[in-house]
Amino acid sequence: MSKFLKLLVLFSLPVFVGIISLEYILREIPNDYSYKRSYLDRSADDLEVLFLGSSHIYYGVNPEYISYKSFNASHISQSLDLDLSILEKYKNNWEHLKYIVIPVDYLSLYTTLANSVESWRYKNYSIYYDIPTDQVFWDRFEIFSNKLPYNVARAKSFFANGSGDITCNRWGFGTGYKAGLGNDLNATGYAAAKRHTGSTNDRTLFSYNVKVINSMIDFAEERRIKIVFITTPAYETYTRNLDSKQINNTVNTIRKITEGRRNLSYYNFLTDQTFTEKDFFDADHLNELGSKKFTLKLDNIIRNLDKKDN
Amino acid sequence: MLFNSLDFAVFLPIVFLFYWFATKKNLKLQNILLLVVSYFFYACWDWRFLFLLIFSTVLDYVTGIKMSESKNPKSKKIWFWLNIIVNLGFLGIFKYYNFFVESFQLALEKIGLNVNVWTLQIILPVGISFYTFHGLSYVIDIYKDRIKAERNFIDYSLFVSFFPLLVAGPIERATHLLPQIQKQRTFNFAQAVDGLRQILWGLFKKIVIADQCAEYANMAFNHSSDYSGSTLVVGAIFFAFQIYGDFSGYSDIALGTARLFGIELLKNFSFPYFSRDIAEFWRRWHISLSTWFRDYLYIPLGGSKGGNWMRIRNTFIIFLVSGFWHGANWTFIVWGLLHAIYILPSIVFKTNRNNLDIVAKGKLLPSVRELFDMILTFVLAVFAWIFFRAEDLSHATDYIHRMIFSDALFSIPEIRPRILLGLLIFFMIIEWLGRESDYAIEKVGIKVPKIFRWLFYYLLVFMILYSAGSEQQFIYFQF
Repeated sequence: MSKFLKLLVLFSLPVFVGIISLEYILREIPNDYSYKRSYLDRSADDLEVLFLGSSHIYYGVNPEYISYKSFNASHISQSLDLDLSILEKYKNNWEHLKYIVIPVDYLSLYTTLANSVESWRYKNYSIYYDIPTDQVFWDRFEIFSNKLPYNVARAKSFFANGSGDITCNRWGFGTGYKAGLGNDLNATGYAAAKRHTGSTNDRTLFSYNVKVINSMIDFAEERRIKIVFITTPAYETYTRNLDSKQINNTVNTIRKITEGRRNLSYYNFLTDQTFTEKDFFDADHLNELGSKKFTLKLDNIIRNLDKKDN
Repeated sequence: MLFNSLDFAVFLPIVFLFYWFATKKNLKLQNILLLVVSYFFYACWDWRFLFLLIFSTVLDYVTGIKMSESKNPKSKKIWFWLNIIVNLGFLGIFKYYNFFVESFQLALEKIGLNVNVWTLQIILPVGISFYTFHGLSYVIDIYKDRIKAERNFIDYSLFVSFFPLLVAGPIERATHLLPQIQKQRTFNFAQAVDGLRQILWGLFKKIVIADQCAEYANMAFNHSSDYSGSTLVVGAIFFAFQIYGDFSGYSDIALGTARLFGIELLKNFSFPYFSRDIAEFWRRWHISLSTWFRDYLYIPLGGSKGGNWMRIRNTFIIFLVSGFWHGANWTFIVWGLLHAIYILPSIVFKTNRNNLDIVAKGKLLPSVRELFDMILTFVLAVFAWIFFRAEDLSHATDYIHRMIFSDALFSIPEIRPRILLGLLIFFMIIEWLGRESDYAIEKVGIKVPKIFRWLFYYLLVFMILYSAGSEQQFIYFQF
């Protein structure tokens, strides 16, 4: 038996060493999560406006055009519970924070990252943000969340060209969706609407997300921070394919929550006609042009709110 | 918990170490440990179905004892048929209820009667077809006085639920497995190394061959209207390799895992794509199921004793039942029927036992005749696989129609994955070289220095890691 175990360990050793080394290398490659985490570590105290949320904010809001010191801390498929986790991680900071902008979109109350097809991204929060997640052990590794050829290519590109995986600008805005390079608005509208439609009969995720929103509100109230909830703009090919029950529930719920509360406001841009075909990268994401337009609108809202407060 | 999952990669070494170190070679403790971990392994899918597994185990255990204790044949018969009805009843409800009801409704609609039928929204418990057949063979063997009833409940439960074979076979026999469960097992270095080697080869078949072929087979079958005839041929061939890699890979991992615990399971595959006729194919494909049908259906029906007509009738019955065993869909029945038709000439002309040995035994290459026979058998098998893979009969006939009669049967296929083709050639060469062994790499490189052998194993490990992505379910879990 001891001979068997010795040989087994000897045989497995190079495999384990290879796996651990690659995991280490992959974690060293700079990415949006590590960048945003280090930015928040440094600057959470100085921020006045914080944008959270999913890809709709990541590609939709460029804090460069905001009149206050602000940062876009959204990530692709980031759900409300992770927005809250980021807020809570820096609970002892946020000294100057006045406004938090959080999207409540068609899918927001009916999904969480952990339950979505993008759940492989969940590990980034435990690896790069040190946010505890309830994942199984294996799902917390870089190496197991993508195929080996992809991981090897990433490592190779990092070593050869020094190129990391950061795809946002210094304010956390995703720069990948250039104007004129967009996708078919018809096809993406139908596919995204279908993908974002949850089960309106199953109230589990809905109740969970409403609870998360209430926790965010409590968190903000304690610190006298205002929350601006928004529903981001989308193209008509997306909006016409939405399930009416799901979108009505979402909008009515957030309206009801924010109604009559001084520190909360809600703005719905979903069918805002000022956004045209040229502003979209695909049916539910703005491109650089659209994001500038959208950011300036948000800036206007925040300035008006600020004026009222003063 | 899948064999190709990281969970299993942790589960197996832990169980292995406990088994050999914590039980201190105490047989009773070893069996209890294996039974507990087997139930844990099964509960990882859906703990609720564990009760069904335990119920089925208790039912067969009690039936066995009652039949043994029966002094008059009548009460023995009652116990026997009661067991058969309950076992097949469960299988029928979970697997076939909706199929029968919907087929009945469809038949009534054909004669102008519209009825509303009550279908069930039920999940098929993993492995139910396998453990039910396990239990049935045990009960039938006792009824036929081939074996004595097992009195030790732990031993019997382990025979049914031993985790390597629990969810997709091989379908064991009490005469083969129970004596091993009851015998003192000591660690055997050669057996354990052999087990690891077989697990490695099984993982290669599943992750490198089956899962990669699945991508292209799925493209062809899911979008058959978008592709040329030649591409659909390639898609069907990829499915043939997918199902072989998937199921024989699973069986290799199961056999290899059992070897780590000192237990030898029945061989389930023996290089079926090197068969020279369909009869030989069925002696090499899912051996534990085909021998089960031979022993518990074909022979009781009269087997080959009653002349040609009886042989033909019995052959058709076992192939239809075998098709139906795979699932409640007419596609499986047609798949079985096709194989019955394929095998018919060899039954009539009594050539079905012509090719008992492996092809080109002791030679490097086959003769031209052997090569032709192998290719012909493979083509027939691939054609039948189209029915096995298709969603329903109209999908299968549409696929075949497009494949043969639409355009470009002889054009260059749109699907040409060069790396995968290279891997398939590598795979078939290794399979060919190892065809006289129990599994392909059993003796590959056994005479060369260890360093070269290890390099070959590292190459396999690398290819497995390189191809591994999300854990893909094994096809036979659905049966």
